[in-house]
Amino acid sequence: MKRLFRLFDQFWFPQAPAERLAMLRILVGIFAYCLVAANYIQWVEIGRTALVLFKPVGVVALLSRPLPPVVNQVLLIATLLLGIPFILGWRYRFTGPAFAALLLWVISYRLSWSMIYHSMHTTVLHILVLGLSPAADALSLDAQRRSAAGARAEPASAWQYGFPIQLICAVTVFAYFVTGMAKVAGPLGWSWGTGEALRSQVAADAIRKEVLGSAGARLFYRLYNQVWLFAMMAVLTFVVELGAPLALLNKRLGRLWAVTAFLMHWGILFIMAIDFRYHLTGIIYASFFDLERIPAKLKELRARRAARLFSTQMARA
Amino acid sequence: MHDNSRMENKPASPSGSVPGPRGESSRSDAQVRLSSAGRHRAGRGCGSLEKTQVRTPSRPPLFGGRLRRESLEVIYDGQCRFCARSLAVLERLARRRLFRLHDANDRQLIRSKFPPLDGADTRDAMFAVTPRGEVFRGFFAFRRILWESARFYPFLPLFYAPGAALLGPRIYAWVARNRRRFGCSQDGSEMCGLFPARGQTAGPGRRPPTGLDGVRANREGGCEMSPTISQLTKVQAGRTSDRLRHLLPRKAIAGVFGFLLLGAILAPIAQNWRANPQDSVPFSYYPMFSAKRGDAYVVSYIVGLDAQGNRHPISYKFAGDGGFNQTRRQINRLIHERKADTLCQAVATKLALAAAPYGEITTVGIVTGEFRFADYFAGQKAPLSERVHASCQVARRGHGKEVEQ
Repeated sequence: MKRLFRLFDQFWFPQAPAERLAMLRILVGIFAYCLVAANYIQWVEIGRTALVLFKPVGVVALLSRPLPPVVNQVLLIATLLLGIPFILGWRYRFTGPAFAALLLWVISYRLSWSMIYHSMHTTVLHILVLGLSPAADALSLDAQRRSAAGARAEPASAWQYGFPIQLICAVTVFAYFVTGMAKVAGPLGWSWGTGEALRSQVAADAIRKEVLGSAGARLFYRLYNQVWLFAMMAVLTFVVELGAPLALLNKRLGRLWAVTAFLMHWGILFIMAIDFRYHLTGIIYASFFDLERIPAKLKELRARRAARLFSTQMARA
Repeated sequence: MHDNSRMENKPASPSGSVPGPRGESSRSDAQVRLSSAGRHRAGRGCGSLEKTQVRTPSRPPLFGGRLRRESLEVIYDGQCRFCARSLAVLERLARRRLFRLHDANDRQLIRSKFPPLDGADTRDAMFAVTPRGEVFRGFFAFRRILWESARFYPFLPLFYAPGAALLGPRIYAWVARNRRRFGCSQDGSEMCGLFPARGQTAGPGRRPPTGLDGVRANREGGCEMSPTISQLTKVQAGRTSDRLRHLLPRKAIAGVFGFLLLGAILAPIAQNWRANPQDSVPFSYYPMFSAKRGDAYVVSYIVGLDAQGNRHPISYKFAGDGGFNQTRRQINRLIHERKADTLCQAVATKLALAAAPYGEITTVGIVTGEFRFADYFAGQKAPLSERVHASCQVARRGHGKEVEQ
């Protein structure tokens, strides 16, 4: 039993450096901020959509009718304002949860108009985990302030940093797993893997894009008759989605899964012209990698460049 | 596993209704009302002693706050350090007093203060009794405690997430069953050393608890002090590995949070077997690309006709602002609700102001067409069939003037 506990402890509460979690905060925070900022005008307009199309989901289900558009706009602005301290790690104990809560609200509200875009779910979940974790113990204004005040430094590596990262990884892979389950549990069952269904789905998507005046993927016209290709893609989709939980068992396996899933989404973009931006940027998979190496590498590069400059100047002198 | 339904079957108060505060009122899960006698006794017992509350200078300020007169009474296993620590962590996080603690092992005390709990499985689960006399058991007691501080509100959606009421009691039951294993039980610290020393702290600004200052004896609430907790204090004093033990409840809380979150992510899988599945945010069953399609596809769209009767596809952007898929769904919904005329008029109004390539369009139609995949991708793009739901004229100002002239 003790051994089991120890294994569970090692798995669920692994040690990780504060910088890794901090890098995740910065990357996911920047993505979430850009998501809201880039769609700000559209989301404000959505708040003015006809009442008849309002179909509240998630936390917005608390509302029986839409918010006044100005309130929606104020909440969007508040989200953007709080996004900055979230990324910078300023007063994170308050700004972290507050940004997470606001993002959950504005995205739920945005999706409460008869269509749920599933690509935003993991962003919200990741921000929720980050907002409630000590993600600003490093690479943040809070850490800088504490350091300037001479406060005791946070430990370099601890389960408090490893657990949220592990949880983010778990959230990611389970979201994929649920997606895979929907295919298997759907009317097609395992026959979804033959590729026919996938091809029909892509074909339907291409047709509706054309008749509704949106840009479809030209590549699909060339690939339509290559059923074997869709069969391969369907099998790969099953492997990536249903096999996702295995990515938690081993670090290398996790990275392999992350790279495969990342490439799969680029394939989806080329063939189906569907851009899952969180996936295409790779930020969704960032938790599987040693992100703390990025600032260290940058520091090393800067030092190397400074040394080169110095030596050049010395040689000139 | 604790059976929450057991409490549901307990007799409610003679007064009948159960007006629970803060959103718990409508729930029937594990809540009953204490008898007025028991309530009176509970209030009197603790209230009178509250005045003689003992405060030591060493107690951290966050526990120095006076307990509100109207507060929760929590009945828990006083011999379980893990339980005491978990509750202490809750108060530490809340930065104020949230509840009065009572040792469930003191049967006489429980019988006298909380008569309805006499005979309840207080050894198997924690109970929370509100000032109104409602009783919550196990997971629901924990969830009720979270309502006591605004600091816990961000967690509440998780505790009320779909499936939380199913999964939560099971997780609680597992923790409760094993509480003395990872909880540094009163009678030995065998399991306390389970996790190796790491010297962690809990994060920014969270001062690690020292000693057992987190464990508040129920005398602070005015009731008798539990001997077990006083013993605990003695045992703890002077121990250097105190911080380690504080990690366990934190890990437990973090672990439970993680499991609940993952449970909430996995719970929507059940929607796949429902006749009318409901999608949500941020917990979804991700149904995209799982629907069965034949060799043909039916889609609704907007078409425009010019004066010569030539067809022109009209962008979805004339029908809505929410992006391609949202607008497509909204078109479907409006057709389904027989509001295609309204949509048609709205599109025609926008088209009237539009320049090329829409300048020549005189008539707008909201239609549903059926396309055969093989034909379409072989270059034959005409629909197999088409049904017109609404049709309307584009009234351009210039055109109108010409007519007048």
